[in-house]
Amino acid sequence: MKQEAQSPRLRVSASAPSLPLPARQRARLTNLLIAKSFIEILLVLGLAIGFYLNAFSPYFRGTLDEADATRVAGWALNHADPATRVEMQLYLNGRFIASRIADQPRPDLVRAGVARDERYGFVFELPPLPPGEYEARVYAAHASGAGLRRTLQQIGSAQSFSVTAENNR
Amino acid sequence: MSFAADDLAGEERDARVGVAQTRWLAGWEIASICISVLIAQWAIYPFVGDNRFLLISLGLAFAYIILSHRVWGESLRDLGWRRDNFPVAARLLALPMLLLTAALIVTGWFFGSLRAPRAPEWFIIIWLPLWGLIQQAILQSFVNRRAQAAFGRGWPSILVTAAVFGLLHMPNPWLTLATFIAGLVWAAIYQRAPNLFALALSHALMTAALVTTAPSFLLGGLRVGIRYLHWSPFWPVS
Repeated sequence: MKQEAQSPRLRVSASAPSLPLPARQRARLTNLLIAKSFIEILLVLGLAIGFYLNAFSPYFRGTLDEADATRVAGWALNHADPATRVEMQLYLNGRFIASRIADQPRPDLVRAGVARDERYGFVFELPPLPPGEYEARVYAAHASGAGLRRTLQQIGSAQSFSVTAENNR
Repeated sequence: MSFAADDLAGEERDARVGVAQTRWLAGWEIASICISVLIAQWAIYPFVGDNRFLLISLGLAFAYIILSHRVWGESLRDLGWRRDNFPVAARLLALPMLLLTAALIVTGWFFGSLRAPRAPEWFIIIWLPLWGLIQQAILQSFVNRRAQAAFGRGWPSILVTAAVFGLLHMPNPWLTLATFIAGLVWAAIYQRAPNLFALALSHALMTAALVTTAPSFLLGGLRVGIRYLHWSPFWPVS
């Protein structure tokens, strides 16, 4: 049943929703709302997971093997595209230091069965550093989102080292 | 007699429960559609950056709205898809539109931002009224009607409708304010003369007035959601 309200000044009918809805219609609306909510939850979940996997590729492998006052070294490769060498960026205490391509020979990777060829190593020769405590992190720089983004994806764990007057060259 | 009285009391109680549940459902429906639009504005674009995925969220909202209209038993006439009251609705809209347009012209004159429209003719003549019709169909025939079911006719539901319209234009502050004010006018007129065509035309004309008078730093590129956060008033508007 509809309520037809007549405005005496305008003589226009304006129908308002009728209350209450029958129980069967209420149940149907409730089911529709619940189904819609589930679909939207799945949509947002899918978007979040898809975004994460796209931005932070699960195919990158590598480690930061050594970090001291003179050099930082390790290896990195992209299993999704092993023919392309990975661009590595070095950060010390959160500051960008240098960028290298991980194409140095690492025969131990082949012996260990990690890679088919050995040219996945990277070495950063450090400039003279002031004495103090340092934390080294290396990141693989790669494009994601069809080139909309460039992601810095940390490879391995951060490594700390000290620079003193004795070990600084 | 006592059994009849008990039956009557039970029926009254059931009716009250039914009304309360219907009100809650109507409020839930409004919230659900708002969430769909907010997902499109705030989640899909930053995660994906691809407008095609908007179709999923907005398509779901549209599908729900159509199903909801059917469950509520609402005819196209009820919703405002009618021609008979177009002159009445247009007369009601005329004065508020004149006042708002005058305010926009004064604002544009003050900031020196009065300008001729730069969009192509097809955009002004076809797309603006069509986009206005889509927005008014959702805002009035769904949100306004559900707000009336939840809060009753009059100012409570008018305020809720306008608040929803403003919310969906956040975080653009001036656009949120403009749409809230316009939402108040349109919601009030819809409750007196529900005609989506008149409201769509009004929406298109007011949008055209806004983009030809308000300064760029107030418009925010008409961006909403996370896209607004990517916009800077100090960069040239593209």
